[in-house]
Amino acid sequence: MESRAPRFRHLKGSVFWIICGIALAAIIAPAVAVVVSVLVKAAPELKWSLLTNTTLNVQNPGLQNAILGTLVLSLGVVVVAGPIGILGGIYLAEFAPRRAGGFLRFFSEVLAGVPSIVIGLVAYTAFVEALHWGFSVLSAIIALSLLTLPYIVKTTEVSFSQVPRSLHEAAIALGLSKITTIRKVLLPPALPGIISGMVIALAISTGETAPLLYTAGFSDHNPTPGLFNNPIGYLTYVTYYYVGQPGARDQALASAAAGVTILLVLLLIFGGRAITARQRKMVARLDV
Amino acid sequence: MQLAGTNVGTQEAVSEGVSVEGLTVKFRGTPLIEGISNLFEPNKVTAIVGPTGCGKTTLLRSINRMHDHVAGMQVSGKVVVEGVNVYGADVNVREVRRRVGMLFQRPNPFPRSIAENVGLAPRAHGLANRGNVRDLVQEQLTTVGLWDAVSSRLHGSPFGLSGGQQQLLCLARTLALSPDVILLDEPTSALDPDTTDHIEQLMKKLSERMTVLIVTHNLAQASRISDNVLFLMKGNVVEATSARTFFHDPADERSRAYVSGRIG
Ligand SMILES: Nc1ncnc2c1ncn2[C@@H]1O[C@H](COP(=O)(O)OP(=O)(O)OP(=O)(O)O)[C@@H](O)[C@H]1O
Ligand SMILES: [Mg+2]
Repeated sequence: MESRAPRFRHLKGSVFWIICGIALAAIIAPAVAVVVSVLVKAAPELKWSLLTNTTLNVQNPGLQNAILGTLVLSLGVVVVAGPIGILGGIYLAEFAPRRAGGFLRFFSEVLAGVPSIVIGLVAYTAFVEALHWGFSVLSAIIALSLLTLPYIVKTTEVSFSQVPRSLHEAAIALGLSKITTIRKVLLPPALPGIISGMVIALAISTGETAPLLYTAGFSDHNPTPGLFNNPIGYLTYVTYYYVGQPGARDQALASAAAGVTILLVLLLIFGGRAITARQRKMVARLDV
Repeated sequence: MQLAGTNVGTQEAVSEGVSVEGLTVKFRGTPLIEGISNLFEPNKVTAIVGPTGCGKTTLLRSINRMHDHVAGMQVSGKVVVEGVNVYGADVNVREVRRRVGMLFQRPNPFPRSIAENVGLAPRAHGLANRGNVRDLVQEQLTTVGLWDAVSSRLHGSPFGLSGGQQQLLCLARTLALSPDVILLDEPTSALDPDTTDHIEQLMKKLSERMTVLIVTHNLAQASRISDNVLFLMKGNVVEATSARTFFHDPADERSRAYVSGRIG
């Protein structure tokens, strides 16, 4: 037994590394495969007119209305889900009594587990139908906000609860109020995590189709002011709809829309990293 | 500034130190310190010593009500700072903490610039404004002997400083609120000898204008800087006396054993 132990440990070690390698490959391979295959397919279709024409143009259809629509909806998510999610996360991390916290976390998890198509359906029934908002920017923004809220809440809560206890104690010992402590002491180290959460939320909003089918409708025109009874275009719809159309021009538009969606998501991810890198530097070596 | 609803301890009042009366702290019913009474004399350095786990930190943290923020901690008895029981009904806890500063074992600067570390709390308490906070920052950093080292990087991160410099920054941060009492929990145990010596000198000097309580495991340090000693064992006071008596002619056999290194 004694003499076999090191060898056995060595074997266990290699098995562990092999499993780690497989797990890593299982994450990296699909991500790379999806990005590469979509971009390869879209590359020949990417041309300047995509940005200048709308889907209304039959001869040379573009994505202007869809891109602008996606940006408007994302902005809406930042404005609606951002503050609610961040404040909710701060409440859970810093204020919630145990019972209330558990209750809220439970519902947040349930919401995260609801399929996006169901959220779309509920938003349709409540806003489009019952409140007579019709296919509208606001219905779409609320549906996307419901979808992304749990992520923002969770990442905010985790970011705040990871701030070292010693910083809380320093703030308490100086007689700082809870609000000052949160704003001036806890927020800087929590910010990179919160921004990552917002980036995930935006990536989800950019990539979702199901909840928007019932709420945003679609429009071949560029977005116009007006939250109610005002359908709006978005990128994933173009992929979803035109991929089912027979013509080669329509297929090309679908590929281009998929490519632009992926590019937008990549832009979000790298943009988020660039913003948080500076912040992380300031709070680096926060190992107290 | 008033500590409580009634007007006590005006700014000109002679410091009264800290008096602890029948102080008991329990964690989920189990006593950690039991019925401690002691007067921490004003303008003196009192060293709190004793074997590990005897309740030194627990005692120190009851003076600025840090236990309020730990679930399961119950405090009973009185802690009187400048004539006011800090556990009294109408006490302004934040003002108590303004007057009773605390320095921790490990430096814990805020993740903000060096200047903001010092200026943040005075701004929050209304003791400084945008116009004069810079002078206050310079004054406090000078007091702790850090000004020359950081004057060119006031807006940089404190995490580029050495551990000792970070601890001095934390001291400046605490002194910026002009406390009457300062609580130190093994403030030099993680530091190099030079910074330790520097902080010890500062403690002596600061005791001219405030009451200093220092928890230390280092008896040599206690004998170097303290005027009085409070010796605890198992949550109780064994001996409270002058440093001179404690180190040279203690009354209690256990103190004798502790000083000679046979306990703890
Ligand atoms: N937050 C806490 N929860 C539960 N028990 C605690 C807590 N803090 C301290 N204790 C207990 O209280 C007793 C006294 O602890 P305290 O930290 O005051 O000792 P100390 O004298 O400062 O020791 P040391 O010299 O090791 O720092 C110990 O038995 C410890 O386990
Ligand atoms: Mg201790």
